Amino acid sequence: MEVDKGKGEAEETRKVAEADRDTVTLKSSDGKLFEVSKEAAARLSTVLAGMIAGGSIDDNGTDLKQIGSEALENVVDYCNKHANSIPSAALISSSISFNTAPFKEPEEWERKFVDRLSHDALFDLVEAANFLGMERLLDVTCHKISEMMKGKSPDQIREVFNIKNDYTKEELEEIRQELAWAFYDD
Amino acid sequence: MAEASSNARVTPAVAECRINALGNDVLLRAISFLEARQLVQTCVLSRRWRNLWRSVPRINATHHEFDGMAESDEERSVLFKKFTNAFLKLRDPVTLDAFRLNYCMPGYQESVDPHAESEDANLWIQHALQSNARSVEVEIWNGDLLLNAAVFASNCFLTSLQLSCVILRRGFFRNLQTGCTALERLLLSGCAIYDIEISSETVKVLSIDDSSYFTTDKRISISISSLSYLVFSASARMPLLKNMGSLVAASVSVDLDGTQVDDILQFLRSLSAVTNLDINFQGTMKMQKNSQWCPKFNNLTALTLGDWCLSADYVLIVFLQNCPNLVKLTVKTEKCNTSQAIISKLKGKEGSLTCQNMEMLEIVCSEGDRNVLEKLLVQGDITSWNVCVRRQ
Repeated sequence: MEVDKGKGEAEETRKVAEADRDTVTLKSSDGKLFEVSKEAAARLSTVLAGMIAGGSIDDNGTDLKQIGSEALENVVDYCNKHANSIPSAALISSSISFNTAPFKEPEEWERKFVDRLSHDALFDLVEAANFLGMERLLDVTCHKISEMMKGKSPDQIREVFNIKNDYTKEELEEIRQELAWAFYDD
Repeated sequence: MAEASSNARVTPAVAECRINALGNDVLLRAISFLEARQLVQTCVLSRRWRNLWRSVPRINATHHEFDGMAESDEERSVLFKKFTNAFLKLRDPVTLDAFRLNYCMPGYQESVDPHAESEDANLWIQHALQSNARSVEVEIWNGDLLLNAAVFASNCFLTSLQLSCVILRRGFFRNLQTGCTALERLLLSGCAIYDIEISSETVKVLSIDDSSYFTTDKRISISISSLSYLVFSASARMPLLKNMGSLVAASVSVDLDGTQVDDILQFLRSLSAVTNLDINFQGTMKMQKNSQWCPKFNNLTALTLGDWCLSADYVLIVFLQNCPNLVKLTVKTEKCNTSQAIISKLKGKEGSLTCQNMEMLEIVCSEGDRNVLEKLLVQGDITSWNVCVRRQ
């Protein structure tokens, strides 16, 4: 894993430069340290951007008590990958991209990034992205959840997500009748 | 991955229901990626889900979800209309972020009045705009939607509008300008456009593609001082571009028939501040050997040209002489054989080339033999450039 540079070396890095660092150190609920580019963190997370701007970043590791180390590792990984995926030769590309689109389908690397996650890791990441105000990551992970539902029957969806059906038969019948326009004969 | 962490939150051995533990906002965000019919059907999953569909921030209504449920297109259209009308009527009056409509019209029939046939879709779009939708995307199949431009005239929050196979009657752009004062992105595909003047003070991205057309023979004018990206390849006379000071990149394809040298100069001059340009001219127009038709493109770093630039010996040269900062040149050509001509021109036998920064030459051709081409490139002896050849 090329990502979590900061894990073991955070101690050293901290000594090197206290001010003007171009990274920030984040601390997971279980005390592990991760280093992430300040620029990427500020660009991708509204919460981290606010902390950086407000000077509430702790050089010894900013406590993120709500986020476990696995999820935080994924967050940091995502930020780094995102930073790298920005086409540096943007000027050279002659194709015109529509960056202002409200929702862009996940890119190939984003798809791969969420596809490799276990069920629990995906949900941990959704919660971390939500907590940190990472709009894009939240969209990409939520999109993955929707893909796990797409085209499946209610029974299949309940199985995938372990949802307990707490309706009575009568209630279900009532709903189907009330919303007949969405069910028809299936 | 499966390794249990010391995280206090993750302990139960029995598989827990992670999805139901999400907050409403997040859950709504996830399910709003579903297509509308499946989205509504999530209400049967459990009590938690019963009314979620009513307040999703995105609606994606598509006729595909009704495929195979009806004998004919017409019947399917009835089911889809009934569904969409009910959905929009019964949803909670919450703000809508995005509305996407993918609608197969019942088709052309003599008995059908196009105005009446378009009424439902116009109401749906109106509903989306009144729900403060920021993005609206409408794709019509099997017919054309007569869009009621009045729905855009009242104050709306729209930032992105994407229309496909829609009829835009006269006054559409004016209404858009009056009502949609936050609009930044306007993409039109396969649209019939009745307006002659397109103007805006907010649009940054405008695309009118080659399946769109203007119903007039008159010259269209586009005046958008906020525009950064322009794609224009609709069938129309060469448009008059005004107030293009913010333009960064453009991809244009226009017909030269009936245009004067002055028109071309004016057209190119309005594009002359861009850094990226893809330009294609069709039809015949004698470009003069002198460079009067070509302004200086001082910012241009990436240029893409079509076959037209090979129509006469000097066209490519004149163009390149006016692009002192060009880094990458792409030539799209029908035949690979023409590559030799391109390369010999670029070698600048007359020593007239001034593209000192040029690093990359890309030739995209739709037919021809790659090997022959590579040989040509070797013979061409352009060692300082990164040359690549792609087949389309």
